[in-house]
Amino acid sequence: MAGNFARSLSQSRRSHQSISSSPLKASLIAVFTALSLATNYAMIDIPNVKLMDALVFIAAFLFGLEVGLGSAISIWAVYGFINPWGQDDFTLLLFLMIGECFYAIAGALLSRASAARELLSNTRPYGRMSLIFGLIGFQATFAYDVLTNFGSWIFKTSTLYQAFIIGMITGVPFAILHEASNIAFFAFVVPLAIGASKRMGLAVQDKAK
Amino acid sequence: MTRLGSHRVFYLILGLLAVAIVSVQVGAYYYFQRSYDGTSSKSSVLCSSLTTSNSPGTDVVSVNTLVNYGNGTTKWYNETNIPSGWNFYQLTLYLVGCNVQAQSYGPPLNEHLVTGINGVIKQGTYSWTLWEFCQKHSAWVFSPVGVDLIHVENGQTLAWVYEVSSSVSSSQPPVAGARTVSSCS
Repeated sequence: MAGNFARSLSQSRRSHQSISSSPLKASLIAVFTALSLATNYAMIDIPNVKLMDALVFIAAFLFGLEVGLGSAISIWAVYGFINPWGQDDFTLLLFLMIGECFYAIAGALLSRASAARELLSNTRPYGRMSLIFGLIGFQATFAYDVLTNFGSWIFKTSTLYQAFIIGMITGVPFAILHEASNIAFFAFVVPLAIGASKRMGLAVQDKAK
Repeated sequence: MTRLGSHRVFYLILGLLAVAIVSVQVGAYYYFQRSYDGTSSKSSVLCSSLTTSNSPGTDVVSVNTLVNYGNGTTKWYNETNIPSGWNFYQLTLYLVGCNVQAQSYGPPLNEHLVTGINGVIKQGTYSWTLWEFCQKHSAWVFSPVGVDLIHVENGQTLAWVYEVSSSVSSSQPPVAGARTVSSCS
């Protein structure tokens, strides 16, 4: 199924259909949202360990910032409300959506970086790709954790500084779990997915204009 | 120049950022452990300062406190004059001559979980519960906040009760047969 989808995309690119076409982008957002939600619910019992972040990153890396941002926001629009652990309030949901966008921004920026392009053009790029993607994933996850922990304390503390410090300290066990799992996903899953998409003819986006 | 060399700055920035983040997280975890380890304290510097200094010139409030040991023994501390800025934890230390056992939670919580008063220690389902007397309803109310967050006011009546505290509804009031309400508002 996934292979067929990739091939159809590949063919569509060969037939000069731009990836910037709105229906195609909407379809990509829907696919990545569905994939992320499915994996989120499958991994619901493992707190803070989710493939979602890596999928948003891949979406932005392969198909551009708009697809990444669209996926990030639509995932949380569903997952924030329909969640066995409880529904998020609007403030926290806003922080979660913004935080998730960090992965999309990181993916889109890295796809434009010459270092990543050179790695992709190598025949056996996985070693160094793992290192770069792992580190980028770690940093994006840290930024996400800082923002969302801050967001969960912002109306429970008297100053913004207090919210930041208390969020950092009280959220650190979850943050460590989140960061460690994302290092693994970004270092091993993301390079494989990007490598596979490259072999199937899904070129890294650079002209989504 | 090799490919690695040409992107040396990029790799260096990524590496340095990662090291900085790890340092921040290690620091945060250190504070997290310090905050949540619940260091056991029996008497402290705070205790000696409470029992020795009653500096003149400070505003004083008068409070009544009941300690119900759960075995039929109750003790009233009536009209205790204490500085107005004290919380119930400080008052408890003062009343029982610092014979209080508590788990201490440091910054950012700065809280205490009282586990023993005058040698009566938390055991099994039995623990110390906090009550306030609600003048408005002439009834006892189970404290919704911890001991450090109760800032004593003039004329206030507070109580400690040693009882089974699996839930608020199953807790017994400090005085047998007394009325209870769920909220003082």
